[in-house]
Amino acid sequence: MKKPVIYIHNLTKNFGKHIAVDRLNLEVFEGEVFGFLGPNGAGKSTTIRMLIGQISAHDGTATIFGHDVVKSRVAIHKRIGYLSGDMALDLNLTGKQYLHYMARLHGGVSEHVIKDLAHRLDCDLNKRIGALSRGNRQKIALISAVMHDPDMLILDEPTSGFDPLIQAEFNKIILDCKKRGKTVFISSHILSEVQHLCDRVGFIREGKLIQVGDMAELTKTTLKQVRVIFDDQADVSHIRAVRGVHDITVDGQHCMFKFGGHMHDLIDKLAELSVVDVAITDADLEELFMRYYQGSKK
Amino acid sequence: MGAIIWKTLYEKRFSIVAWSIGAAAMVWLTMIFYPSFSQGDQLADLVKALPPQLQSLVGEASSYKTIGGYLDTVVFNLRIPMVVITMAIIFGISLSAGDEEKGTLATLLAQPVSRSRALFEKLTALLASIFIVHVGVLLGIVLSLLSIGDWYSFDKQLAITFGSFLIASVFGILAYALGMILGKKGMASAIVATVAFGAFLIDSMAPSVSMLEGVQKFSPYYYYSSAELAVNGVDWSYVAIQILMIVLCVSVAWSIFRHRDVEV
Repeated sequence: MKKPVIYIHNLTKNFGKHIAVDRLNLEVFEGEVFGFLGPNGAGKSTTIRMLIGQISAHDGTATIFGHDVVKSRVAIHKRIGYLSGDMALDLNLTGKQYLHYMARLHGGVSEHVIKDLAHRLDCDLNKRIGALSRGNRQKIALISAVMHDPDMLILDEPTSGFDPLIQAEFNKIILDCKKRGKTVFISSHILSEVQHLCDRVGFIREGKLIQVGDMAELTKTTLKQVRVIFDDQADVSHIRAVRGVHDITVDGQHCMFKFGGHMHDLIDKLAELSVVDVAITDADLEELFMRYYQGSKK
Repeated sequence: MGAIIWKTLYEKRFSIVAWSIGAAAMVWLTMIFYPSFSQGDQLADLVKALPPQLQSLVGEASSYKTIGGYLDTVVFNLRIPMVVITMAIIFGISLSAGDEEKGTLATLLAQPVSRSRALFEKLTALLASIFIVHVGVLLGIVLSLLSIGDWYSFDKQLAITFGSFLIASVFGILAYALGMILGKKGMASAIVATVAFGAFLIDSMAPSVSMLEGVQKFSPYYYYSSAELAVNGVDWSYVAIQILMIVLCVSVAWSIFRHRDVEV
């Protein structure tokens, strides 16, 4: 049985009367890439800040590698790499000086590793960080997070500011970590950015974890996108009667809808109708994500 | 160990050099007027004509006649402490609440660095900055004495410089401690500025306002100004009281900062 490297039990954090994280329970296992997803303000960053010991929980516990995140901050931080989308760096240092400083805090990192990562990310380390664009600063923060070869990466909306090429290199770095058995905990409010990286995802909304699942399972349970072409004007009343049909739109002979019921019910019904063509595709997980979003707005 | 100290000093290097040159220049510019003050009687007459409340601010006229007295009452009574305390407060706030508001403190604490280590290494960098500025102050005294063609006991020069270092450290560490406790630059600055100004006012007004006599000893400034360090040398009991104040500030900051939430 796999060991949970992150174990969160009833974790709760309030800011005044606002409950930012509400009795959150979660386990993340060794060697997996876990996507922590939710809209802005859902409680993702608050959870991560509790995990790295920047803020303390009002209730509940959290451990990483079996150590309490508050009592064993230093022991945990030796084994993790942390990156956030709005990471503040020391602007008066050059990239090289900053990374050497971070390397000293981690007990030393080979110069070769820093140079290699800088080359991969096309990052100029000789400029003062204050003079760099946001994307280039983020590259330095990324190098700082991975250069000491941590056992786990904790990434809070890490890709903001990256251009597509760097995003691709970032993905390679994450997948390389995964291949080497490292654990990655990555938060995002854009599912498509992390969808292809993650083994499992958890959706958080208004501080509550509303669903956790395997990426493959989630894809299966997601609504299908169905497009039917009838040989005459579409009569959707029959389609509407099938359990699991949602959001029907009709345009002449074309009928489109989402389907989340038993497939044989739909096939049986379509067989009764004068259908010219049928196309059934998996809806993008973004669809699922948006459903949770919309739930939060309601 | 020491990485945070060196990085902080490196980042602040231009600022530290600028404050050191500024403080040295201030000493030199004040000291070069010593010959005119010591030889004429007009100033002494002017001081005697002032109301007692104002006399306590400018010092006794007779003290202007000796280098030690001049250092105590003219150079180090108001001018240099004003400069070095301001510097210490700015640095203290910047290294604590300033870094927290910038987000660099949160970044530092996401590394394998304990809160205690972060607090004490930054504190050491603050004290080292104040110390370097006081090397400038001491250099200013030596150069100004050489330029007016006079000399004074080097021990006493060291004593007044040490006293200035200590009072700047008290206020600098108070600012730093408040920054570490509150995490808010504006609030910490407002409190420390009020305390520094209030302490100075109490100490300077106490000799002529009887109701302030009791509270004068609560002002850190009392243990600096009343010692007349350039004349009497270091008063170790006063030094101990100021160190106690520093230890108190650091202890409170340490106990609170270890457990509180750090803002991003």
